Amino acid sequence: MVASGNRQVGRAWLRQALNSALLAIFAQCLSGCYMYNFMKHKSPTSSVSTTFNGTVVGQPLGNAAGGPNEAALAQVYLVGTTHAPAAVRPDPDLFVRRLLRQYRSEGSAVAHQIGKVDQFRLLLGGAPQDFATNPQTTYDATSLLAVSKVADEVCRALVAPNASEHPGWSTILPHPADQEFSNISWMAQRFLGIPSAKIDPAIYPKLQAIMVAEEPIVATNWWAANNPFAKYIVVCSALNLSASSLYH
Amino acid sequence: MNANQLYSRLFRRSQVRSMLAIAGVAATVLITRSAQAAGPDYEMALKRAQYLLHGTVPTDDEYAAVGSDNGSYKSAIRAFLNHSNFYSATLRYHEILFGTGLGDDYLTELVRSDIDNKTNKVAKLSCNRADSGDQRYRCQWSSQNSGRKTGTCPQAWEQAVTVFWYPGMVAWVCPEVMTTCGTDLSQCLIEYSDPAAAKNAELGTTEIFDTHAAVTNSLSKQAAGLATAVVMANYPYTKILESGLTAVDGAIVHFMRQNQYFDMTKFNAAPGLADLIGSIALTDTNFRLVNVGHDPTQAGALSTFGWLRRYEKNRSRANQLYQRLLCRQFTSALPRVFPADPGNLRTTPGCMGCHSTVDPLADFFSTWGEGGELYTGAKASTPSSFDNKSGAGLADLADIIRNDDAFATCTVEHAWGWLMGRAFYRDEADLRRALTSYFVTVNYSFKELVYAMATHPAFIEGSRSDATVTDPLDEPPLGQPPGGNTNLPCSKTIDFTADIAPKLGQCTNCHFAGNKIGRQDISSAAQMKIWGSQSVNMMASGNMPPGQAGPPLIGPVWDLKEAVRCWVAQNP
Repeated sequence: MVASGNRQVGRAWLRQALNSALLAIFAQCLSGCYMYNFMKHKSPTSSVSTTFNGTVVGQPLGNAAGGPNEAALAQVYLVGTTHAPAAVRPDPDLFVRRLLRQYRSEGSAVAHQIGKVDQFRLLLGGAPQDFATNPQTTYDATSLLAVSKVADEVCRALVAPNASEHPGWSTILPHPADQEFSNISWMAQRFLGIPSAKIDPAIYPKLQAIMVAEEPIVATNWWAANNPFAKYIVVCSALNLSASSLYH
Repeated sequence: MNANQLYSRLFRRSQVRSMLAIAGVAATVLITRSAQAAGPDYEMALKRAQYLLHGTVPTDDEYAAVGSDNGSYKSAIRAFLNHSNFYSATLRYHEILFGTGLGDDYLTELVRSDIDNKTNKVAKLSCNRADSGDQRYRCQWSSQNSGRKTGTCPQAWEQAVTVFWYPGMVAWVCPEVMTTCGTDLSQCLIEYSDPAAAKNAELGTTEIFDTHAAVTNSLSKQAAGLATAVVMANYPYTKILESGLTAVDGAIVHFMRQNQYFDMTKFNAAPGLADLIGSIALTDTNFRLVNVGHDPTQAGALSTFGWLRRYEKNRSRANQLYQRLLCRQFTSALPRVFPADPGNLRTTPGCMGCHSTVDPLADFFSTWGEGGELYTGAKASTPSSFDNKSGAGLADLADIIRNDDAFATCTVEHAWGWLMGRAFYRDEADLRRALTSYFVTVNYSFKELVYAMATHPAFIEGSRSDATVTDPLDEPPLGQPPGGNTNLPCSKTIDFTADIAPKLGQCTNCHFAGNKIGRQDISSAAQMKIWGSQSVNMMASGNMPPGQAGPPLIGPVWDLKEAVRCWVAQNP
């Protein structure tokens, strides 16, 4: 009797343990998948390409470098300068990739999209393949021309992608296409890179006016057919061409 | 094509109108920004730091999280340095620092021209997805054999393989392709129809792959990848010149494991390297450090294929090293008339100004061949000297360089230029010295150096200046120990009560009068007269006070050490 009772208790315990384990696995999978998708949507730059593996293959490399030394750092802060930092222009070789990768995960579409504008890289001031010259750090009219063409291409991929060129992509705009003010102000913050509160509201109607004026012309393109977000491409380009977006 | 034609080709008239309107919008925004007064501006600093270190621009929420709070700003900087995005930012920084891009023709000498003693029979595959029909992703022969239509077969014969460059990706191949190239196709050269897309494809994330593009790209970046991996793992930055240390990613591992297209016997990799890389995934985009152990001909980044192949001659290797790692230039007045036969350039007047230094420096590279004979043209090592120190081979040269303060100072200059957008001004010598000392104090942690700069008041400044520095600081001097000369002249008379006693709290927790723990009392001038020299030595070695990361080069311990040292010298 005792043995039988123990077996029953054992079976019940085993059933309970199995149920718990299955539930845990299910919950872990669900949460893991959800977290993966969430991160993928919210932050493509962190979802792909890997976490860095710092282990050394082969012989050990010795001790690591030091961590922060607050006392010594405080002394460094005391040594000042009267000269301001210089404006930094985004690296022309990375500009398109960084813009896309803030919203798109790495993959074939990104490779094709960057490849499409690769011919403009040198005109933008990029470094040649052998690095005979460094990437350009100054801003001039020539690069503005090239950026305009590049901005149009990249903006199409961001705000009005189409299935044949950008399979699997949808617009990055957070609001329905008819909410023009909301979408324009969102783009202004993202592409100018400054806080919304610091953006002069006077630019919104100007951007909207450009958009309205250009809409009939944009609509004639095959990729604009049935795409209510196509009209935003010109606004996206305008903002990306702004010197503020290139000014850090 | 003139500018107008180019312009017309690129833009329609409507776009011209847009651009004019855009200019107006841009001007409006600029007016908003130009109202920014001089002084700390955490928003601008965050925008700049986040773009440079993380590759993104801040959202409203991220701006709000930092506000104008220095602590929150510092936390944001620390988060950028610990994020995986810092890898690509650092890689790009080092690509520019080393400048070792390779053209397509740089691998020519390694390409095989035969297999099985049959000329021009090289296993190349073209992989593409069918536009219509079954839309299968197929890999077929693309070499000269393709003209005879080999490598194609009825669809029913096709077999599915999982390609090595994209896990989970299925490619359909004929049986003979799988026999030759292996079940993951890693034993063949892969070609892709769109070179621009192939050049920009990330290994492991897309079906797009081109062996030549991937290998060239990775070998070009190998020196930068090594330095980046050292930084990310927070090893001392001096390790970028460590003998026997290299770095590989998936494309280089693929390159080294196959023998169908590149002839690896010509590559002459470091002994043991091929065995060590067996565990590294072919899809690993990030560079991994591989340490085969000390080898007198190896010196980390300086012995990577990219560095040695891009800078083909030993003199150019020496010159680039002098510029890029020591921030020094070979400049000398040229002779008015070049002699027809200058003889020994190291001693000929008019030539020796540069060649007396660059030629001995070049001799350290003599164990490597030049140009396309990188591996076959190696010679015996040549005893030489640089910076008044002798050696032979790259390992010795690396030790000379990294034990000179100019290496640390040059690293500070590069990082400063990256973050600040300009060089140091002449009147910023103290700032350069303080940053260099800090870099050495934290045992060459590049991450901590970047943190120190990105959180420095100079970086947080809201106004902007011209990138052209009209009065630049002199290049780093050679021959100083790391951290510079830490024993400065005792120009000021030191008073114990005013200059030492207020700083003694670091020691007198233990070293006070009447302590019962056996510590010497150094709390008074009389006691310091007895124990002053020993105290200086203990502080200078980094042993006291407890918890020092190494010899102090800046900070409160350094200040106390210097005050006591001068006081002892002035009060014998």
